[in-house]
Amino acid sequence: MNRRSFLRGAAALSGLGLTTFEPRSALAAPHDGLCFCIINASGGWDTTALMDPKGTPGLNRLYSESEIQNAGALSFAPTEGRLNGEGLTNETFFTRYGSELLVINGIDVSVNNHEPCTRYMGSGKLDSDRFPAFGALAASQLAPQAPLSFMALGAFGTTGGLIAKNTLTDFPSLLTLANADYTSYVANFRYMPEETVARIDAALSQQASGLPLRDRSEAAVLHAQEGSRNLEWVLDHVPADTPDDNFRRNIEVALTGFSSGACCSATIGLGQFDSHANNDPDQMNLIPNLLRGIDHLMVRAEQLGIRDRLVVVMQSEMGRTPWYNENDGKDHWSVGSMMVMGAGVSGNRVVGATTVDPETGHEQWPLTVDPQTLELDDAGIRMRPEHIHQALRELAGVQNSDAAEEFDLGVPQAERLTGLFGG
Amino acid sequence: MPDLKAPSAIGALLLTACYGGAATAPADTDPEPPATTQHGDAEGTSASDGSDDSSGEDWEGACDPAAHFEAVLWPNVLQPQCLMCHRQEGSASSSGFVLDPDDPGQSYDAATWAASTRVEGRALLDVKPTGIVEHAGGVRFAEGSYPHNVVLDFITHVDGQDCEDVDPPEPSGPFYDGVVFIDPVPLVRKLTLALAGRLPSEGEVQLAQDDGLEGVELVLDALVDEEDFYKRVKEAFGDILLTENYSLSSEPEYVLAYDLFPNRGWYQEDTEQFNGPYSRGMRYEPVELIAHILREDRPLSEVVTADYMMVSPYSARGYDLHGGFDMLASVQDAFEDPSDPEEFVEARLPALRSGGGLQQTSETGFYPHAGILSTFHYTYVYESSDSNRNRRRARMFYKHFLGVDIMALAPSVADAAAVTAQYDNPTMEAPECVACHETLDPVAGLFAVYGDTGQVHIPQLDWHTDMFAPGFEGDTIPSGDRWRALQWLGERVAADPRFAVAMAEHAWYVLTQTRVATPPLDTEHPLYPARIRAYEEQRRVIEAAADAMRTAGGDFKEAIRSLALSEAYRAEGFGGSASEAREAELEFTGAHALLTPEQLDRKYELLLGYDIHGENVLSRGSDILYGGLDYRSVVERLEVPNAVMGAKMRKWANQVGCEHVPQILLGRRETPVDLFPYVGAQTTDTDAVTDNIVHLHWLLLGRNDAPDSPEVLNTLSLFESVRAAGLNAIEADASEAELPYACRVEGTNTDADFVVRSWQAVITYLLRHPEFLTQ
Repeated sequence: MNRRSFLRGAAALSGLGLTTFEPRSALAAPHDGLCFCIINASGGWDTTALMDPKGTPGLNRLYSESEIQNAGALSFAPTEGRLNGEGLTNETFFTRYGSELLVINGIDVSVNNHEPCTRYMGSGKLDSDRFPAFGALAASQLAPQAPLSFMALGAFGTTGGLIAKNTLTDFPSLLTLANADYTSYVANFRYMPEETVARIDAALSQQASGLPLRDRSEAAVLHAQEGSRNLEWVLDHVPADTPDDNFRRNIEVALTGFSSGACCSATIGLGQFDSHANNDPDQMNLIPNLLRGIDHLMVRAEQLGIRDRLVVVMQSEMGRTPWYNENDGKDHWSVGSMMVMGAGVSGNRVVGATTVDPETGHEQWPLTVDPQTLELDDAGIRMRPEHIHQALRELAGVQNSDAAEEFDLGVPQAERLTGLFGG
Repeated sequence: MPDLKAPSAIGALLLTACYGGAATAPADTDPEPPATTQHGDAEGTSASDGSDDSSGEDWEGACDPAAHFEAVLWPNVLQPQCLMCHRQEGSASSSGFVLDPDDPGQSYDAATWAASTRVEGRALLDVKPTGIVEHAGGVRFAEGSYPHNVVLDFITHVDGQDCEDVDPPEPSGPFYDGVVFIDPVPLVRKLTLALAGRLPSEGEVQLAQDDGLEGVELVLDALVDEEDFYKRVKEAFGDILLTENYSLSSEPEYVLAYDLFPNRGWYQEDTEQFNGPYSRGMRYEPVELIAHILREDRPLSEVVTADYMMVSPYSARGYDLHGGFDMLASVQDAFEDPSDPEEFVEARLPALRSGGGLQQTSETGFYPHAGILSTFHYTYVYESSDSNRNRRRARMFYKHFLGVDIMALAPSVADAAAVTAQYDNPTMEAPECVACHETLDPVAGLFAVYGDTGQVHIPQLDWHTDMFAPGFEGDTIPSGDRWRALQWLGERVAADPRFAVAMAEHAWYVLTQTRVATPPLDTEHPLYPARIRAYEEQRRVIEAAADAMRTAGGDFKEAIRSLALSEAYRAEGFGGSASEAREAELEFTGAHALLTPEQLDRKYELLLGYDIHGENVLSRGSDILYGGLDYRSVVERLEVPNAVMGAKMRKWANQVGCEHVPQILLGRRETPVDLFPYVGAQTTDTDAVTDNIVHLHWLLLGRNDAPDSPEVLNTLSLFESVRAAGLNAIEADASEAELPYACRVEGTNTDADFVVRSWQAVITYLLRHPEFLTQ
């Protein structure tokens, strides 16, 4: 076989972010730039119970038009006294974070099945299952050497082959593995002298076979081992206590990654929003729980000193029908909303809107927006996930990267949402 | 006549993305197609080996639409983009443009009709898929994209004008040009490890050495009859069916409805003793059925037609019925060892009876078993809801047994909210929804007897009338068969050509631990033609395996054999420099994947006698950290290892190097295979060391390296450099002549020559090597 050197093989893999296996001297520094936390309300949240309030009875039985609340420029559904479980009321959340919040209403997801919607909202691309999650793309460009650069904790995590995905959710394992060259995690005894380990590392070179699948697979093995050395960044950042519930525990894992520089972006899911029956009790159980988690994220980010470089994206793969079905539930609706806050995001703003039929109340259509002014405009465009993702890429500063070009969202220049995040 | 079998005809039955055709598209306003005629004027060149010999010089397509159809239009556009809907059974069957992979003449006629029929001055074949005129399938590709240009070329050919302006296709040689294939001996090792988790015997190696690929075939013949092969099949199908889903967080009896199975909680008489074996019996029932079918050399279609179930001595006790039916007693004599939780035998349930005395409808007196479909496990794992109405079960049925991903249809709906608001019952009225639901909902109705968590309703509840009636792809189930609906379905699936293809895809997963590719969607990407070719070649390989299985009467082992001997599996490298397009063509060639935690566990045990998931490292639950599944929230294994997995790779290698190597070399431990046949704890002779490295390369990496090969010299260099540095350190009092504390064994620990520690480094290195950690 006419084998090529690994370096040539690696060059061919550049589009996959798998570069040559570097010796230990090439260790990267912890990531200290922007971090992205994408929270997904899995199953489809009821936007009328949160940031896109509609007071007509056929559309919403939780409250009336006159009860809709405001915080600055933001309107929100009243939930005080309506919670069906523990959590934060909308009143508390919007009062606390309204000045930082950008609300985007009337996002047309076009389809209404969980899988394609999740893919579309997660990657900005509907008709491809290769496109990476925004978090994966950003991590691959901003912190490719960080050991937990992209974490997918129960939410969309397609990587497009750009970077490895991490699903680690417990700290004890991390402590053991971060010191893999030691006989115990307290680092008393090494298995071998450091010099010997370095010689083994140096011997572990790869010769490319010329077959893409094999070369990628073998290069990834070496890359994973090298990257694993940087897990030690995390050691001093593991919290002494973690919350009881999985959602906030996953948030703590992400925060540990962010604060240690081991993680650039994380997608975190909170499930069960698919309220085909008993919509109101379910949503009033889940939305407060969701908001409590986000509050936890922000408070802890402040404590850890990373709030100024944290961007939080709150989304769901779809909305719910602007009417109730026979089971008091709401089915899938392909119009949704997002909320964003954090570094580079100007708050107290709403972009986009949805309609209400004054006669039936059974409407929640997306209104079109002028992409330049972001004002409602009949001659404007329907905002779709690719528009939002294009803006997210710009916020992260990765819109011109090779990866962004490889996974081009195809948004024409004239449709790009100018200044969506303000900042 | 064009030869559509060449690229991949049957595989076209797998979904690309389908977009409901018939109803929206103004089928009644489309021009009527001409009656089908047979064209025999374009003899196709067979390309059954996957090669595409079309080239600029030999291009026969100039002014020859039939040649263009076969060589370019069919494989690059019609097959991947149109066929799923535009076929007899597809949702666009009434559109007038109907293709048939088994009838090239009809397909060619349809294509020429669509190319010559004009709408507003442009050909239907041009304006429909590009969405210039309304197309229920939406925009399949953009104007100016590669497939669009192919279509325009074909139209030009059909028009018979300006043919000289049509560019011939890019030259491309036989598909495997330049590909290097693995030698028979390492191939045998690869196969025994992949399919049975063991090393080849000396006799098997000899067979491969003496008879080449024919010898490998002989080895394979025996290999697929081994119990360890069935174990691998069960493991792989466990991934596919998510077999372990329910029992990880539920008690074993939860799969059985209390009202029907009064003895389901029997294990509580001694939970500690019986929970485990009972749970195992319930959990593995579906995959044990598959193993049983293979063991008995029966057609794999029994997975959907078997009129029996599989029970262990422990699960049998849970299946007792009201009225005194004792399942264990009914099968007691069939067990060789009634205390063995791993033994499963065939069993039949009488018609079910509720606690209130209601009897399940049955004309035979038995529960209507239909292989896996009717197991309570399957209907429990794929649960339903009031709004879901068994659609999830129907979707998984299509995916598991026909290889069709119904969800791939979904993106066609361009404005779901508008559709939802426009129709009273979108799933039966809106064309965008009908495209999927007319296929999905009838099958959902066949599961009507099963409740949300798999319990059987007695009597059967009325099924929803606002859904397409229960049936299968256009056939409504006769009322007399409703009591045995899944048997009725299983009979149809077994006869469906897609079944064998789906099973061949599963065989690929069993063999390689990788999923088959989906068709490329990005038609505007410059590498689209190359990606299509890569996809097409894999389809050809899968279809060949399906054909082999069909020819052998449904023998799944034949599909395994076909795949294992295919060029796609045997490819090991590419000689020479490949262009970007050529690399894209070879994307799926040479199956390669990270070993799963289970496979790596076996490999460590097999070669080193070491349990990597033992108490000294991390618990079994840590599998998930090495890319494993929890079968509930994590249902796809990680294909790209992350840093945590990298740490585990290092940790395991370090532990074996430190704890095992000194024990082996100092005679305190034996391994399943001899790691050091040429050296001892004090051997420093370079030739002996080299011979042992060659031995280790074969044993651990599967490499048949020569002593003077770069790979062996690299390892030798590591050994020598570590030893030289160690000796220097001892001399400088920076290191001890004894092994370090962490790696010591009982008794003497002298390593004055630093040989043991040098081998420790070598073994650690080899266990971290990509060729040890992948397959």
